[in-house]
Amino acid sequence: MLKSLLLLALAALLLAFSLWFFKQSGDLLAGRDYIAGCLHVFVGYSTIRAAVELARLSVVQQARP
Amino acid sequence: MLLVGATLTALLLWLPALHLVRWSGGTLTPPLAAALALPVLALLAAAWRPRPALALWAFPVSHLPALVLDPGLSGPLVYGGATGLATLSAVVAVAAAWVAVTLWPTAPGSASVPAPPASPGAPPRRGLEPLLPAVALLMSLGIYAAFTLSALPAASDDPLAASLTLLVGVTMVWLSVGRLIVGAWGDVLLERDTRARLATALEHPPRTRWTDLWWAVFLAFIGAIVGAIWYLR
Repeated sequence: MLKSLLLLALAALLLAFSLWFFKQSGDLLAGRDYIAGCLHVFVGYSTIRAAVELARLSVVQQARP
Repeated sequence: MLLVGATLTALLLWLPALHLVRWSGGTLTPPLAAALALPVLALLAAAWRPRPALALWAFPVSHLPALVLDPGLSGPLVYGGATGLATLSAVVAVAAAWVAVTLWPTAPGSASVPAPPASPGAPPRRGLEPLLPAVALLMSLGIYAAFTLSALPAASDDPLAASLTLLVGVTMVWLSVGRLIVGAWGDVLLERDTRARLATALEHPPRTRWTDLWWAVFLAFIGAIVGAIWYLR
């Protein structure tokens, strides 16, 4: 149960970090720095993907008897 | 559901119509008044019979006659400039909320959750399931707000860059929330078979070769160096 909660907390942390990357990418895109903006979008998306994998692991961990 | 639908119609039709009639010298003709009332009927029908065809097709389409009869309702007076962008953002946010309350209801018997059979059984186990709609909604709003906050100051000077920023934001909401959070996480959260398959795969992990490990360490090292150079330059 503790491991599941820890994984969920890490997932929440990564989700929050992804929002920061999206804010950075929005600033770069609005400033016409398109390549840097797209790179930050990619990093934000990858961060969300990592967070979702941790959340999936948390669900499986919680479902274990 | 009724509140979200009425808010959407008010933002999309009634407030612009009120503005046009009261302050811009427009006239409220009987056909336009009837077209403005049409979404109310569709909304009541969608609330009375919770079916996807009514909620996701009839109700949104019922707004079109009024928009066609008076193009000023969707013209530059309403959606022009920075305030217009804020109005458009509000309409998009409420429309997303409408789709959310239609597709992810928690009450059985609504559009996407059929009523359960009337046999008494053990109560369902409550796990992380209630988190899914909340996380999806919060992340949708967070991602959209992150891009909108960047686009709004640039909307007056550089509308093209602001539009592109919003477009990327909407795409990221769709990809991140629709495909990853609701798709991948929701699948494991709600489907017992998927959960069992993932648990089995985790119990029998593939053998990791040392070359793969060294490649991963090398790529992580290069990525960290590039990131550090990028932010510290």
